[in-house]
Amino acid sequence: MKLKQKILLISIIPLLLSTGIIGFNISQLFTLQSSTEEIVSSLVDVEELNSSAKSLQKSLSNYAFNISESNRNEIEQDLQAVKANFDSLAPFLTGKEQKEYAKKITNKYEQILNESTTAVEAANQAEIKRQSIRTKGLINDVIELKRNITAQYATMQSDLQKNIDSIIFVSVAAIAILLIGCIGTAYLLTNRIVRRIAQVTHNAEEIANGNLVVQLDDATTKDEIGSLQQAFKKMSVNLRDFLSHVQDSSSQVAASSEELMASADETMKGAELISDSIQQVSSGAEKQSFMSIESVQAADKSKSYVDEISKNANLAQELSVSTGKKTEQGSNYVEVTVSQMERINESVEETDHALSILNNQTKEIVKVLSQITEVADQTNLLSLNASIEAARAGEAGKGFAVVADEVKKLADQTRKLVANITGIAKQIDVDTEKTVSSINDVKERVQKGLEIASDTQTTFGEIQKAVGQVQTQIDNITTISTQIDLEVSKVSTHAKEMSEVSKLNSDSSTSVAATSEEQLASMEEISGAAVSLANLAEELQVRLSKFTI
Amino acid sequence: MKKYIIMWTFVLCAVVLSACSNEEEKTESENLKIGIMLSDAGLGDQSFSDMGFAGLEKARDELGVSFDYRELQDTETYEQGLEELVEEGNDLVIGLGFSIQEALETVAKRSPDVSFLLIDSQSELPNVYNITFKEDEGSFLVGLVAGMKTKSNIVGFVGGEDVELIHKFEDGYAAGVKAANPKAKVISTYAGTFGDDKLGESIAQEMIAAGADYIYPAAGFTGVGVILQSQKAGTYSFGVDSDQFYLAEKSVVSSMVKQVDVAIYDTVKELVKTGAISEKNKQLGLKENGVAIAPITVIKLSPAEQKTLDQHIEEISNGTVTILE
Repeated sequence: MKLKQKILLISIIPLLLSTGIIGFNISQLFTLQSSTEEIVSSLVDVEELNSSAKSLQKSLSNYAFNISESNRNEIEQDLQAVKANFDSLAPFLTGKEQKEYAKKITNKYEQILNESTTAVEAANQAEIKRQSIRTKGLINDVIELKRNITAQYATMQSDLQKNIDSIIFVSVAAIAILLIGCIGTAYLLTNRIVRRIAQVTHNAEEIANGNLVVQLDDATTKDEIGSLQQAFKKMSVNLRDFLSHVQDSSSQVAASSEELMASADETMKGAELISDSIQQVSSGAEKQSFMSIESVQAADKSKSYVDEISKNANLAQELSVSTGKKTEQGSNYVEVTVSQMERINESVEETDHALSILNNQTKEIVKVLSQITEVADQTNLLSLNASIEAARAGEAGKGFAVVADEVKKLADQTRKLVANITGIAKQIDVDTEKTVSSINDVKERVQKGLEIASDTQTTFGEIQKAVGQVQTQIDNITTISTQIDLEVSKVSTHAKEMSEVSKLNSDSSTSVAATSEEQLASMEEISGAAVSLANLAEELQVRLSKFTI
Repeated sequence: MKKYIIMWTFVLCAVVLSACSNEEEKTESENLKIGIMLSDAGLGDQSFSDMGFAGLEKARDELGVSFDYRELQDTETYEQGLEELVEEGNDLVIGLGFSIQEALETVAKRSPDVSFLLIDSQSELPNVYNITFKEDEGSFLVGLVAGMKTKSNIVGFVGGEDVELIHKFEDGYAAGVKAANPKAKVISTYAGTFGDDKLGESIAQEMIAAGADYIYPAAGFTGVGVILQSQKAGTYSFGVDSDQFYLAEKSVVSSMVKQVDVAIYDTVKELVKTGAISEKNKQLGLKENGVAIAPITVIKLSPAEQKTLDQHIEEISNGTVTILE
């Protein structure tokens, strides 16, 4: 059996045994605990039953002495209390004796309950007194039951003590036996192990002192110590071989370490140069990083401007659209104006035409009037002639003379009338002339108005064209600003990336710088190590000389 | 390796053996157990049964004995009740009252290993102990009071059944009356039963009609009728066995008390202390505190009368005077 197994066995067996003992003890303790709890509670219950029965006896006696409602209530309460107490006790009762007492108590209680209730109803003092005394019989049973339970409790207590004693005894005995067993086994086992290890130790000491030619025994057992002995023997043989190799090697190491020192120095110089360059690279990268951050900021600012432009362009577009609408409206108005003016022109032409007709007719009227004047003149002449002839005719002609006179008067009136009409006609003529000249004025102005309207329309057309052009321009602006925005975003992204890259650059160049510093330091260490290696090789050679190989 | 195996086997065996070695033994402290067969009316009769019960209560509380009881109303016969008490394993079975004697002897013959105690009568069986009372001594004192206080010079006595025990009451009473008042006449009647209070009432009525102003009944429940009738008629009466003043507080002058409780307690005490009852037949009189006269109530004794009473008590207790031969 292996040593490990033996030791394990020694520790596991007592462990298992003591676990068993502890388990046994715990299970015993649990049984004790549960049984005690029940009996204590039944002790309390029976004590309560006893006192309530006594109280019942007293209240019955009180009622027999003094019949009153309160005493009667007390009886009822006590009867209930006895019942309640008994009911709570009953489930705990065990054994034939206790069950018998329970039966007796139940019977007596039923009797007392029935008879005392009847007696109380009938207010029969003598009977109640009798019942009060009979309650003592119930009390006696309760007291006996109490004694029985108490005795049971006492027995349980002494059992408990005995159990505890036995548990203690078992535990102490088991522990003592375990102790003796363990100590004995451990002593025997360790003795054997120690003896053989001491031998190996002795051999090891010989080797430590440099005696590598010591005679070693072969293994005696197959356990770990046997293996140790075997391994030790192998080790000492190998050690002997090894040491002679080491002696050869150490002189070679001394030579090599010198060479190493020289090359380390050169490497160091190279590393210093690298370190300087890398530091420059690092500072450049830092600068680059800083600038790319600025680019990002500028790009961000541009983007905000472009946004502003885009916003304004949108506003302008809205304005130009409304201008276009207004212009169209204006153009429409001008067209309406022109048509109105043309109509006016037509009316004026018609008026002019009417006036020339009027003028002609006026002239006709004047012609007619001159003819009428001639007629009137002749008429006047005729009347003169008539009057002359009448004068001649004398008396006969007198009447005639009156007519001739009347005709003359008519002719004169006609002449006067014609003169009036002629005056009016002349006035009409003058007015017509004036009207014509006014109309001609109007005509001229209308013509001018038409010209102006036509000009206005042309202008509106031009405005519309211009507005259209403005819109196109604004659209162009919006498109361009969107493109700008896109480009600026790209610029920003690229700048950010660049910033990150340059930061990485900076970081890596910093770490490269650090590494090259470290490398430098390592080279210094290598150089130092090469020196000490050379020293060690020397020392090794000195020490090896101690061994007897 | 074998060495270890043998050693551990030994250890294992030792542990197991020590675990099994705890044996359990039971000890039980056995109390003295007493059974009592109560007389006819049972617990609550305010007389014999209650007193016997009270004596055992005292023994239970002070001496730590256990007791159980039987009543005629449950067992039908005395014999059945006594048998049950024997079967219960009582160390001592008590029979209360002379009327139980026959049944008690039957049971006692069947159970020679059980001790019996007979109150108020005597049995010759070897396992029966007897306690009787000198009722004549107590009755003499009652007669003395009646004789001294009667105005009509006629006093009455009512017996239950016409038996020897009741004759002791009557004779003692008559002697007492005569000692105090030789002119006084005692009229006696036996009802023939201890359980008829109506009969007691009618007997008392007749006696009162015949001029009796003090009546002494020794008739159990029949006597209760006598006492109640006396109170109704305004005459005086005496109680018997226990102090019956509370039965009729305007009529009961005193009672001839048989201290059954004291007698039973003393006997049980003796049994507990010494493990046996020394005397087979105990006769308890005034001296042994077995009988007594209850305190005088309702009427008052003159100092001279009180002195006469005390003197007689002392003489009887001293044993200088015996009432009946």
